[in-house]
Amino acid sequence: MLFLFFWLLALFFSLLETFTYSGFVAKHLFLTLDLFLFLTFWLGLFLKLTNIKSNSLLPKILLILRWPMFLLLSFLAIFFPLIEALHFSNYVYSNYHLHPSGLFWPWFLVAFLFFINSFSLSVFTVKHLYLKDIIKMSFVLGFFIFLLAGNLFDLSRDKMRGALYILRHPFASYDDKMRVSAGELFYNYILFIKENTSENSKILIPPQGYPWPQTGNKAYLQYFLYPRHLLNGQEKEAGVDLKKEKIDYVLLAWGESTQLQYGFTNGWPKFNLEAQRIIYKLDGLDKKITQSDYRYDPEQKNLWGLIELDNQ
Amino acid sequence: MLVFLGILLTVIFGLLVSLVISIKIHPLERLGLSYVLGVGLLTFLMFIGYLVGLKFTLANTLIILLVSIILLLILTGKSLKSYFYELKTLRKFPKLSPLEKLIIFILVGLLIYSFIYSLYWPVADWDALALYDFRAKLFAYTGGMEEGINRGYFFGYPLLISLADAWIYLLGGDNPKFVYSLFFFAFALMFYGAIRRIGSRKMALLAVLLLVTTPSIFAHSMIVYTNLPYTIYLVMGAIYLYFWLVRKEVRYLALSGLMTGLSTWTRSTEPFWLTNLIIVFAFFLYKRKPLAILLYLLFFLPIQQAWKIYESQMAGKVFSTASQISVSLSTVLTGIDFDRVQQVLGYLYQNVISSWYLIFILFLVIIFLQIKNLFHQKNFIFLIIISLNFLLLLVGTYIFSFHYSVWERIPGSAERMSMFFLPMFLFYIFTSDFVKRVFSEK
Repeated sequence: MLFLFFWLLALFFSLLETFTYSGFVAKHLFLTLDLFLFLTFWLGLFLKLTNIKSNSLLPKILLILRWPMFLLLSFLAIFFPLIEALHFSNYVYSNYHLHPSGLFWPWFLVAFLFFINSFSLSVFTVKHLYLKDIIKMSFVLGFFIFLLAGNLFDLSRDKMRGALYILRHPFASYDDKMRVSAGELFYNYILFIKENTSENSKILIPPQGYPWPQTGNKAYLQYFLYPRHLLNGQEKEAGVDLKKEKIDYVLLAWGESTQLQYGFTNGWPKFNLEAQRIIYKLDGLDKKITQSDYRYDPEQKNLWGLIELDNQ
Repeated sequence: MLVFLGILLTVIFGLLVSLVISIKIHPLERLGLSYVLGVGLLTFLMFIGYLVGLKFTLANTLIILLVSIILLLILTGKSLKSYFYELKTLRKFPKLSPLEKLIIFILVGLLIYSFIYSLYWPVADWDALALYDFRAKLFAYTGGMEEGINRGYFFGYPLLISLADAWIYLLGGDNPKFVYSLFFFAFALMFYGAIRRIGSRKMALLAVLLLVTTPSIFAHSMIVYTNLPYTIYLVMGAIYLYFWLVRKEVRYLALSGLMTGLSTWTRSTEPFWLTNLIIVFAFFLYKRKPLAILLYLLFFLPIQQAWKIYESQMAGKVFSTASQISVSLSTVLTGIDFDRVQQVLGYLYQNVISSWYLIFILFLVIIFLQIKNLFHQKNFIFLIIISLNFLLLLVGTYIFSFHYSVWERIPGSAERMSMFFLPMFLFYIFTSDFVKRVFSEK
């Protein structure tokens, strides 16, 4: 009965956290869900190792109910992440008020019933053991199960996200995948730069730091723009002799992040430039070209493009 | 097709090297070892070839590989036959319990997932784009290192990862990510073999399951970072060192030297290679047997020093091993700043130890359970290896904190760097007498 009590408690708390948030139990009871889960596994294995017959471990009603519970939770554990993938992040919580990843623990607890009821533990050396040995043994085995379940929980929550994209877009192009991996805004800008600059050009890029974590990081950016040569500028001045360095283009980069670093703010370059023309990036790969010098205007927001210099 | 053939030749090369060392290991472990040795040593030979004038081209790499294979075949004709015979015996699939079937099912599922994921997603991980894979593309594109060196941010990390990626590009592949899934697969096989040597099949399967489901290890099977290969080389280097000490088979020592050497060919700034060297040196002092340390150094030193010498010649003496040791010693010997020690301990606890969480707790539980006869346990030596590594982590971070002003701002890097502790904890746990007894088949 003690096992059943802990099992029900763990199931209840794990469901509670599924419908509220992770850490809810710890906040209100000062005992973490992990503790209840571990105690359930430990106790289940202890009773199993002491060779108590399976039928007396679980009441009949649970033996009957475990299959429908298992099937229902398995279905929900697949269904909710799928519909989240088909809509947007947090879709399930905003519509059904539950965290899809939280269903893992109720599912695992039900699966654990099958484990202790169906699998033979005769593989373990339990003969001729004292009670204290069985306590230690079940403690370690319970810990193994808890560790394994914790690992699987982490994998199902964090590491399997890419799988849903693969299922939805099995034949996505390289560009589509890079838009997902490197960020749509940044990657579209890369395509824009590549389309509007020659491969042997020299480009001045923003200083390294937020809000330009990607466009200001020379080492990172050159992966995409090679064989073009890149040079970091400063925020409020070029920082290099544009004529001497034969700079062909200066990036017009608002910044791909809202985070700031080293006192930088969005919008670059924050200095005027004599230019041959300015190629503004519009939506997608659309562009607008003006034949004028570049005058920095702090009122203008979200500008992206290229400033073409006359370095002759 | 060419990529497949290239990988196959690489594995055959690694297999022949492992047969030359002629160690008796489980056929599955040898398969994993073959891949890991093949990739490590082929990239090292590509680098040595480059130093003597062979550019990074498909033809040159194939020549290096084929010449090496032919030479090794001459040395290992018979043992190669016996290996294939061993593999044949694996076809008789053992009768598995439902629990074992379930574990294998999960293992295979995870390995397939990692492989599909790697084949699908292109290289997009930050450090891979900024360094490892960028260098690889330049190697394949220009056939040399000059372009990469001229563009800056080239040194600091040895070339194993970049040359492994370059090898795939030279073979006509456009996405080298699967190389890391194969590393992951190879690690699972090697870990299985290592645990199987001392325990039951169920125990080895559970150990591998816990290894491959460890989130950081699994995640690194799908990204082009140095951390997973580094973990594999360093951990297996330590495990083979342990088997040398326990079984007194000197061939394990050679393999340990090779694997630890290859760990420095993956990441060279961390000092963890010192641990194995200290153990071998301590053995030499204790037993007065110089041959052991000579054999170890014969396999370890050429790999460790080749890149270090090249790097210090090209980028300055600050990269040489002697310079790094002298800087480290001078930092420690100028007096210990206890406030900084406290800061470092807090930093390591928050960013490294807390990330180990359950495995670390289990590791401590196992130590506690066998505390009475801790020193008499066979795996006590492995506990020393782990402890020495932890000491190096502590001292290394302390020294690093004086030479890098923003040392506290890169917690992710510290966590990744310490990833190798997780399989080490697992190995210690599964080699403990207590766990072995739980899973014994008597």
